[in-house]
Formats: sequence, structure tokens, C-alpha cells
Amino acid sequence: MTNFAGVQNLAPDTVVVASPQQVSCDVATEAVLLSMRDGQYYGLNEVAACIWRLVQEPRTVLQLREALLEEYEDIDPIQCDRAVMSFLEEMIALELVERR
Amino acid sequence: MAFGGILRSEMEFPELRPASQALMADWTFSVEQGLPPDRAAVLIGERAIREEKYRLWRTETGLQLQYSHAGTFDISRGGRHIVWYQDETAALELVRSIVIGPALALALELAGFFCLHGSAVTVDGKAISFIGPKFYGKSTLATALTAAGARLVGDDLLVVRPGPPATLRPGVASVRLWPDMAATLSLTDVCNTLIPGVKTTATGFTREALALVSSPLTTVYVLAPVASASAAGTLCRTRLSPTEATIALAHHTKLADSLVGVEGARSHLAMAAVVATGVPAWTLHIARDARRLSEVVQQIIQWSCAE
Repeated sequence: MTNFAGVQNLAPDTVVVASPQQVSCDVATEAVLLSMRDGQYYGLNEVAACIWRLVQEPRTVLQLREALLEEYEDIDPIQCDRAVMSFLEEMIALELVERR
Repeated sequence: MAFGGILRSEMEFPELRPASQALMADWTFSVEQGLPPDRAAVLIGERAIREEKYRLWRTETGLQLQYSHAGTFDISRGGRHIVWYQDETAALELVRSIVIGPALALALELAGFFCLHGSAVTVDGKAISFIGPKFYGKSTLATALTAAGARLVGDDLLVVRPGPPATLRPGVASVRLWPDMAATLSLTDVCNTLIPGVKTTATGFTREALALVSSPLTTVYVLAPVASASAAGTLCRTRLSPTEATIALAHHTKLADSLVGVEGARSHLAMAAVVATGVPAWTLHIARDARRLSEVVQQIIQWSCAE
């Protein structure tokens, strides 16, 4: 089991989902988000865009990790955890992802 | 004529080229006295700029654009009919600018067009657009290019069919400039007022100086002025990735996301992505120096011809 230490209040079974206060679209393998709360745009790289597509439905942190490992077979599990956690931390801080 | 269509209006629009009465109108504009009819309406979005407030409502007949300083504009029949409920205190120049600005932009967006705030010209039939915040020199650049032989597409509202391939419709043949820049470009004889510190409108471009048909959109420049003494020199450009270009385009739509609401913003973003995927976009680092404008113009023309 991966150690999620260092990530505040995000346990493997925490359910996360995209906030309704945003719109987004895919741009090839990447994506762009617009926060309707403050009008700011955000560009997502390929991995972040993949996680973003996954959180369009409520999922646990663990489900996101597993889905990402399946999508990117050559990704290191520790790198995968970091990618998921740093993305979620930032998106939650920006109120673009919500915890359920 | 405007934006590749015909506006039939009971109010005169000196900004627009006249069209034959025999041609069928794409949009009609009429003026009604008094308040708009009392209809059920749902607020889509709003925007405030200083004291002025704008609100967009969805009604049972279409859209309603409400201005705190210019009255109410009803947009119905799928965007084909615009009615202004007259506010007698409103300046007619302002009313005309709303009709050929936000009101027609709403009508065109209903028809699937992507409406940008910017300026554009064509060089050898290929459209080059300039987007950026106010006071970044979009109009100056488009006018200087037109003076150097390019054809003016328009200033302020750019109407893009996202495609692919993306095409740009002809716009309104007038440009708003600062008086000193109008003098630099030898345009003072086609400007209506020359009050220092107030932008003037340059009209009277010859037919040969205008793009009268839709043109393929081949380049988008996002303006980034630099001090003329900058190490970047007079002019350089940096290619944007499709993601960066999508953000730049979505950020410079004619109709603010806060006004058009979630669905409008979603549509803007999707159309921006289509345009950004098909059309090269660049950040244009440009010196704020009127003396070097001709160098800038020649370089932009050279880049366009090489592409």
C-alpha cells in the first residue's frame, strides 16, 4: 500500500469530484479549465488532464491512482502517487475539485 | 453590411457599408419606445465596468441584453431580430456600438461563430489577427499594416468560423485610434474627431483597403508590448502550444464569460480549442515605439508571406 503521508486530509478512500463551478475542454491530450468562480484559466498537461477526466465522476484517491497506473504502464508508482496528490491538492485549493 | 451579412435597420449606421435593398437581411434592427414587455426571464450572467452594469437574460423569445446606461436589447428569432427599447438618455453612437458589438456577437454566437475582441488584416488573402487587452496596440498594428498594403478585416469584433479550417468574416471598416497614432499613420483626414487623450474613429478606407470576403485565418498574434529599449529588440515572436493558445483565445472573447454564463463559457472554450488546434498562435513581443512601426509591419508581412 502506498504511503500517502504528507498529504493533508486526503486518505486513499477520500472521494473527490470536479466542482460544478468550472468548465473545461480537451486540447489534444492536454486540457484547459476555466474557474467560473474567479475567471482564471488553467492549462493541464497530459497526466493532469487524464486525472481531470477521471474526476468528472466521484472517485476515491485510490481509484484515481489505479486508473492512472493502468493508463500509463511505465509510470513509477511513487511518481504516480505524487502526480495524483499534487494535482488534487492544487485543485482542491483552487476549489476546482471537491471532497465528498 | 457587416460580418459577412446584412443588417436591415431603421436607424442609420454610418459605420457600415450600404447594401442593396434587394438583398435579404441576415439581421433586422428596430427601435421601440418604452419599456420591454414584461416576460419571464432567467439571468444568465452579468458584468460591471466601473459604474456601468450589463446583464444577460434568457427569455421565452430569446435573449435580452440589459445596459444600465443604454436601455435593453431584445435578441429573438434565433438571433435574427434585434429590438432596442429606447433609453432616451443614451448616446446613439453608443447604441450603434452595442448593436454592431455585443448584440450582433450574441446573434453570431447563436449561429455557431466564435467572436473575439481584436483586430485583423489579410495579407495575400490570409487573415492575421491580433488579440490582447485594451491599449496593447491591436488597432494601431492593423491600421499600420493596412497602410502598408494589407486589407483591413476589422477592429474590435472579429467573427471566426472555427472550422477546421478556421475562417474570418469581414468586419466593420472602422478603427479606433489615439490621435497621435492617427497622425503618425497620416490618417487625420479620415478621422472624425481629434481630441487629445480621446480615441478617434478612422473610417473612409478605400474598397481596395478592405477584406470584403471571408478569409482563412492563418495566424493569431497575442500582443505583448515591451519597452522599446528592451533586450527583445523591436519585435520577436514565440509560438504558443495549442493549450496556451486555447487559453489566450478564450481569454479574449468579445463577450465576457461572466456575462454569457457557464454554458456560454463552455462553448467559448470548445471553440477556442478548435481554432487553437488548427491555427498557429504566437506571442508577439513588440516594442512600444511608433518610430519603429514600419519595421514591425514589414516583419509581420514577411512572416506571413513565408508561411
